[in-house]
Amino acid sequence: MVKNVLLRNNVTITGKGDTVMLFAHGFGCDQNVWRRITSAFADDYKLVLLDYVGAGKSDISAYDKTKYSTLDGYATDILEICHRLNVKGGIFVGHSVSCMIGALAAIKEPSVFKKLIFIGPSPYYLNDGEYVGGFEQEDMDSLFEVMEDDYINWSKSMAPKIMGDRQEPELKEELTDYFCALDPEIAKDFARVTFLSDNRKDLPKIPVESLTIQCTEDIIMPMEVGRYIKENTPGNTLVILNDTGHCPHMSAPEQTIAAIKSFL
Amino acid sequence: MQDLINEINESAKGIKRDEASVAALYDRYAPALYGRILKVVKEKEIAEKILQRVFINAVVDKNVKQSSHLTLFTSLLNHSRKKTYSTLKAIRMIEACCSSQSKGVVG
Repeated sequence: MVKNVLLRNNVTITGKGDTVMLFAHGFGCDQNVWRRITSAFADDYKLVLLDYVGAGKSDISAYDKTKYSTLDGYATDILEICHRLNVKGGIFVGHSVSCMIGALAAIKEPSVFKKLIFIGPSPYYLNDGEYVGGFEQEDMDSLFEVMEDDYINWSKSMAPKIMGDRQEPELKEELTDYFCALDPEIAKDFARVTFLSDNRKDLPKIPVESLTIQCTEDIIMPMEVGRYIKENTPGNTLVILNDTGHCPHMSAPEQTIAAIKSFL
Repeated sequence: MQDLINEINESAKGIKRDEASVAALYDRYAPALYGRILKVVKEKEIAEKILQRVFINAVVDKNVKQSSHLTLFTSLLNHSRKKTYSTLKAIRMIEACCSSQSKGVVG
């Protein structure tokens, strides 16, 4: 039985336009992560923001281990929200793992979105032959081991040390201020489905135009990944921002807005 | 230290090994490995956890058990180095994904 999907995913709707622009956050975040860019689109679009089950203010009781063991489970939620809001020809904006979730939703129902915007996407995080995903299996093993430990506090305590070459005091303050917006138990499952899913075979099936936005230095997404997506996805445009990190919608909002507006 | 050995033994339950030899292995090599790990990660709690996993792997993975002293230490040292850097990379991954949730700039 599908619960009220808008409550389940804590869907919020703002903006003045008719065309829906749906924003889907990445691993470790919730819909607050879009706050630096959404106002730029509020006059022209109806903005739909959501929290995946387990993130932010979503209904954690709706968490289903089997359903969410693949990205399809999350894509189903996106489509259920779109059905409920009668979305046709909308714009999908996804960050990180959400990019492939949006791609799967578009493949399943091509009429729902007319354009997809991928911020920091990856179809597969592991290196595989000539494919450069950025990580080896032992990196992933350590990631899952760390997540079995006190990873939030570890990241908190390590951040100022591992970011030692970046001396900006405000950055260190922000890193100390860090928190993960995911339920810790669900985060472990979400990490596995995020970092082990292989969606390379889905790229050629994406039925609509897409934009990839990437930073020059991103530990999660090597430069090769953006090129791979462009080469394997019909109608994909790649934009490299003059910024570092995995979240340009937070660290370089003006550049991110400009890239999206230019694509739209 | 006994707590750590107990944890290692608990984690390696079901694996055939001599518990006394695990303790001996730990006594002999842990201090040198721990110092090297701590130098990189700079956090005692994390260094201890990495050390624990290095020894669990040493117990579980027969390939780490070698006959000569030098080879065994080198093997443990190589493994602890790999485990240290992959753990740091994992923490960086989590930080890169999650820190965007905080109120300002991310790296």
